[in-house]
Amino acid sequence: MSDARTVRGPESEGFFGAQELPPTDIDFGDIWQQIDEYVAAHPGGHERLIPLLHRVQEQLGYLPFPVQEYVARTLGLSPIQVYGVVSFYHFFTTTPRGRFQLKVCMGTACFVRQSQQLLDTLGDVLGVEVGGISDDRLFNLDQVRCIGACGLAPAVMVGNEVHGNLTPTRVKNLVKKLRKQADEEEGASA
Amino acid sequence: MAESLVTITVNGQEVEAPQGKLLLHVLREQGIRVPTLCHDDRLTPYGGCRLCVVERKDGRGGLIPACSTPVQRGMQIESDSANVVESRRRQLQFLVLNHRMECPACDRRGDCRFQDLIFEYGIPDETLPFELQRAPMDESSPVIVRDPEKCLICGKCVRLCEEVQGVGAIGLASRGLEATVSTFLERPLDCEFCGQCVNACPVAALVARPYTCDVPAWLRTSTTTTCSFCSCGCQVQLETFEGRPQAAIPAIDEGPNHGKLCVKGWLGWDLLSADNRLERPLVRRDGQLVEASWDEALEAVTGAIGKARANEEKIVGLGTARMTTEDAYLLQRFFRTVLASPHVGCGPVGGVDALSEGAGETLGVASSTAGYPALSEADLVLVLRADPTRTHPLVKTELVQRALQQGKDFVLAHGLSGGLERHAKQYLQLTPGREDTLLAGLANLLLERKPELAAALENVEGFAAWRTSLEAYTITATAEACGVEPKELDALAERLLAAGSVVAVVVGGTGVPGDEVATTRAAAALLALLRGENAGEQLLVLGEKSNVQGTLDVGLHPSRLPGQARVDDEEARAHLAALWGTKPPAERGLDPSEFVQAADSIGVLLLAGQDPISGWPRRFGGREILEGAGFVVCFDAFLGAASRYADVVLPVKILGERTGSVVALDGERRSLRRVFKPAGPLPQDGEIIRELARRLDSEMPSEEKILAEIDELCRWPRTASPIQRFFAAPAVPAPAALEGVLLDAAPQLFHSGTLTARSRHLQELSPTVAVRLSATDARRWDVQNGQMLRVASGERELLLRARIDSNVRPGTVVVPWNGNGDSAASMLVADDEPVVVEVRRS
Repeated sequence: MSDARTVRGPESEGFFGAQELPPTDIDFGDIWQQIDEYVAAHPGGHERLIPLLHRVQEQLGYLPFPVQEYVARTLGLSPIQVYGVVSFYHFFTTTPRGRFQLKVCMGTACFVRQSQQLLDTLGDVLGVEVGGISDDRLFNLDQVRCIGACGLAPAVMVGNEVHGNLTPTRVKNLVKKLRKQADEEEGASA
Repeated sequence: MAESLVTITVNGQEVEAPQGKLLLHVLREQGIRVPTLCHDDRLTPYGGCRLCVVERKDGRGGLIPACSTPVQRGMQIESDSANVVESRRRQLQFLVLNHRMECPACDRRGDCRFQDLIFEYGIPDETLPFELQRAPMDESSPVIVRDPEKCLICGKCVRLCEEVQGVGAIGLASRGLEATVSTFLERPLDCEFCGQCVNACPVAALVARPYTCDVPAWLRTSTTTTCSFCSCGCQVQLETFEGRPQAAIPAIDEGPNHGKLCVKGWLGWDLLSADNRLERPLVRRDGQLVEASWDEALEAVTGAIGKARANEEKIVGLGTARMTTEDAYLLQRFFRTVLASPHVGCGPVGGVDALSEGAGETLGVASSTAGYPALSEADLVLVLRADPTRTHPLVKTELVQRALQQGKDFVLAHGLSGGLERHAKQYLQLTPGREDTLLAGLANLLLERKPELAAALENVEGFAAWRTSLEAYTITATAEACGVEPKELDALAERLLAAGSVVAVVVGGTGVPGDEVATTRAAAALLALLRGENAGEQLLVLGEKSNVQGTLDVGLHPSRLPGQARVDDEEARAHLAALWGTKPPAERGLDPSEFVQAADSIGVLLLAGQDPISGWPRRFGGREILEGAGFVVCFDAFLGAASRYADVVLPVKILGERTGSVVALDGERRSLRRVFKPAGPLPQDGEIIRELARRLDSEMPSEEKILAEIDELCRWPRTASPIQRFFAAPAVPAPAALEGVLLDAAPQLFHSGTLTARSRHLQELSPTVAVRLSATDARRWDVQNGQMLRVASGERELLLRARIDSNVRPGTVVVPWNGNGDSAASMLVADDEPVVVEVRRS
């Protein structure tokens, strides 16, 4: 179906009247193409929805509404059916995720070793509330229950990587290191 | 296939039931009351509310939901045990928690399934540690108000919207206590407004603004009648108070709709009490239409008829395909006997030509030969010319249910989709008006792959010429002419060959580009190939107005007599002469396309509900016809565009004020019962015709005699008939011109331009008239949504707002048919070739 991709942006128009999406200047990269490829490679029906949403969230870190609408169109669903699934499962999120997911462990061992200080420091350095995302979209800050690394308390996870025995100074350095890494990656890709 | 019966025990009694039947249905058939909130026979079993639980005593035992459990051999069921009652009480207690109780002030006014159940079962006294989830009312829609605090999350509205209507405008978002019925991004409700969600809501979580009233359910009169807005034939239960509409509910147990309805049948009834409704006859005096008595008005008409007869001028009668079967019969009988005029018909209404010249000439019967059962049972349905969503909503729901509830395929082939493409197995987005090209190409493809298909048909008239004409329709030539890819044709051909049974649906419509007759003939030919000689079983022509089939059957047609006989059929004429006492004229009456030429020779033009200016495509020259005719009589409920030329206007009853019958698109004749009362006394079309005949000293027979004549002459429903004739395909049309843009005309969902445009509710819902274009073309021409565009064809030009719509085919722009009187129609100068227009930014 031609032009299905035009669900992006404010030009979209439903059959029965105005159905304008909020204007978006976010570039979702080649996610449209990835969705098309996934659907082409996996013939089937609506059962492809959840795996496809996983794939998209893996790529973008979250499920933007225009992408949900595109997924709906591609699978022959209505957008609210897709949103129904997205809102049902807590795993799926519609808020943007940063490049790095920082999770401060607030389990008992870390807590007694001052992990609250780490959380406060990260909040100050990144300028975000717990659960928020930094303005440069590099960092998400969350607190989590025990991550099972009590021997390294206090610990912070960056993505799937555990950093232990941290102090406020060390987490500041960690943030610096991650920012540098992001800069380098951007330089390499530019 | 015989169903195998199993024996189960219900409350100690042995009961036999077909294996696999839902326990709920078995129990209800035994007269056992099983409460349900979320169950609906129109939907697949759900098992959400748990109020239908019964106790199973055998096997694993325990409480099971009757609504989603099929019966099995040896089941032992207790329907009202203490456990069952307690469980229902508990369940109600949970539901009450999240329901704002304000029964005395509630819009349901006691007509509430939930309240009934609480009265019946009571709820435990103890309080649970939860509070009502507060949420504001959603009043953003012009007709539907949503109150989340009353919603029980039974999901009926959501499931009907998707599973039956195929729209999916609403869904369940979040989970647990936060679960709510929502639209995507909580946008204002933007749907077909069929009202199914409101009618299914067991409480007042969904309320229709037009029907919020102070009249409680027990004071209303409820009458089931046939909805006569379109030709679907839906049975609708209309609730009235003192003759005014209070609610419109689809009849659940009656066909063909079995509980389905569309926006017109739900909300359109307010047009009957519109302010500008005509109540008294109008007669032209000194150039002005002024009120007059019935006697004066009818004298003026008979006087004009006398004058026309004396001057040997033509007397022409045009009814509409909205007339009742009985009134249409009377009108043509009046013209053919009393006035001895062959000039009767119902104007150029979508579907008449497809039936008369399409089906009539190929299958020998001017009727659809498939009905609703075939539509749901066939292996494959091929929908041609238009998406029935806007013109025939019940046919749309049948297709949606096929796909979503039965897993059966349908294929769409037309220029512009209306939302159904999401559920279609295949959608061939054709260049406008190329359906007959596609069908010829498919026939050729089938014959190439399976030459033996031709064997049984070689002796049918016209077969050889048809076969030869197809040779030019190679897969590439056809694909190019239709604007699709060859592989799409290939896939459709394979689907047709693989299907055991195929129904071809031809959507009739005066505004839709393309030749409906050629499409119908080509469809009949293709079906004949697929199914030997029994093509008749699988053709469904969708007439545009409510009684297209009935008016054709009773001879309200310039070339057909009652019973579909041709006017020059001597046997039929002799039969009618015996019945009527007068032999009908053998001469063919004027065809709509011939009126302009003959306009000056028309002495009297009687328009019974017909408006050639706003209702006919411009090419028929409605204005010129009315200017040329000597004396114009209009029967109408409102002063329309044609009334400006009228010498006499006679107000009449319409829609649900009338009695009689209509023959729906499935060929079934269904009754109209009088439901509404007009403000003042008004006659029905037939009563005026009788009175005119009486004044011309030729009284018409009694009503009983007329009914008996109709029964003798017309038979409903008809049987299938094998193909009798093939029509050679024309040369393959050239591919669409690339430099121009093709104009497509789209019928509207919320009104069809004439009568329904009088409904305030429907008008409120109608989007503004706009020219729709694809996003590709919008980028190409640098057009933004809402910008003014000039759409020009020859000397005519329309200035319309642009709407970017991804359903529109690139290279095509779509202008609504009937959206704004004759504006779009004026662009459509020919019917078989799409119009090339020029689009410029204003």
